[in-house]
Amino acid sequence: MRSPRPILLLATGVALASVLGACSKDSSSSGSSLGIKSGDDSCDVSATSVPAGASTFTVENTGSDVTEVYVYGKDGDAFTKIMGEVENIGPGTSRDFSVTLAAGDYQVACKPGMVGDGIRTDLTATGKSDETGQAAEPAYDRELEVQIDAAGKVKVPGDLSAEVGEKIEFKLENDSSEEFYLELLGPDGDELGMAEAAASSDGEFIAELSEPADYTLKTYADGAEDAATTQTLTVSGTS
Amino acid sequence: MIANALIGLREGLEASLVVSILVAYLVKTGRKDRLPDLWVGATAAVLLSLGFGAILTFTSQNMSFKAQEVFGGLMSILAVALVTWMIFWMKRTARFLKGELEGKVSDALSMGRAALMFIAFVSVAREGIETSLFVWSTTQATSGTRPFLGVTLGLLTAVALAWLLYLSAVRINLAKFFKYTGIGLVVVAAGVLAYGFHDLQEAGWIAGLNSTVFDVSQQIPLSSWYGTLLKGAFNFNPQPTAVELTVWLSYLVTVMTIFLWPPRKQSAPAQPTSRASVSA
Repeated sequence: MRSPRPILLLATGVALASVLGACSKDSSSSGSSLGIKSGDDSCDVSATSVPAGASTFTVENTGSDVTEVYVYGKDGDAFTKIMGEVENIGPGTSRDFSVTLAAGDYQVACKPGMVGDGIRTDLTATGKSDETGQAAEPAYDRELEVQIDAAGKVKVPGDLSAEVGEKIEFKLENDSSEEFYLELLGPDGDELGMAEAAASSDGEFIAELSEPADYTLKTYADGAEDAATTQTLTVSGTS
Repeated sequence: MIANALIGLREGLEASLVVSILVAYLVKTGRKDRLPDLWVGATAAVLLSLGFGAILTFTSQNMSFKAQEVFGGLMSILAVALVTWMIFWMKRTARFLKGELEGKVSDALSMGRAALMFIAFVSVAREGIETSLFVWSTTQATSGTRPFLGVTLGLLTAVALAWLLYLSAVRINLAKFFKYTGIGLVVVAAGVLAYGFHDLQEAGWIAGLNSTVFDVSQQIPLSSWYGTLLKGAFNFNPQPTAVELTVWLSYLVTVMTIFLWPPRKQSAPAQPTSRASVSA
């Protein structure tokens, strides 16, 4: 019994290393960031909205007591589902934590003294959800694709007509070596949506065509808006 | 500074209490030669936690809240399993030592080296990452060195308290030692188990995070010194969920009953009561 048991020790080591390894791979921080100052009676959040997807929250404890900060999502009607949190932030120190939020409404809660429901601030995650897969893809009726070929030539579908009330995803597929933009202008010339596609990549936006009128699709390379290709998209029906 | 010191004290107590009892156990049973094994386990846990915490603090790597809670929760439950095993191991040893006799326990009776290392490691590593993240954050504090001094002071106080516990534990006679440390460990383990379940509730693995049974956080705030001691030693939660409370009570009642149950003497099963004093 005096002899060590190297195999058991090795197994223990491997097991723990794999636990730790699995955790570190969990996510690498990217996306937007937000600052939170948690005081004794205050909770200052630097913005009221963040883009959906991964965000890094930096919490600074400006109070005199230990604090913790939670981000709550909705569970039914109440904000009780923990999306992310950081505990044990001592006075005068800062801690980071990362949260991945799908588009929707959230609350930030600072809890000075680490008790109670906390001081709540509303936070909205905007836009299409990034990598979470939690937010439903915004619904649209059909897709309309504009292609830029390798030579930078714009190709628009032959049939450019639509019904009133149709929701269309406008897709810009860019195979050229330049950055391209696709814009949709309303009957009165307002921009209703814009997609941006870097060289050899795609971009898209969704727009609802609510009036029976002529809309304009404008496609142009970066810095060459004057030389844009324009097409008329005719929307028919009654509003 | 005081608030930071109290956090250090709480986290330090969570890690050091079980270790100090293990040290006392080895000393009481004449197995000081196994102390290095225990230190290897505890030191490995400290270094791994500090290293891992540093990676999370100083690089862009981070651990999601969920992974952190799951890690803490599972490690806590593992720690409880090990400590429970240790409690009954000690009870068994006590039976063979027969009261006052403070001889050297044979190899066969002493806890295995790997087991010792493992228990020390898990007891410290359980909250190790959380603690190291906190320590590293104080080194980067905007308000100077006071937060870091505070947490260091707190951790040292925890070690000093654990040392005092060890000193008083080695002084009492062996029979009392086994009984009191056993009872103490059952209460500590019940708290750790409840805490582990709370972590898993926070991670969303177990439902019912918001169905709390009572809330005495105004009466016993965790940021007070007594709240800190209760939390550090027994994982006291002033706002327990139904799941936590159920787990805590079930463990406490079941394990305490089994632990205090008079042991059967195999040669004389007809008179169990007369033998109760052997381990008690």
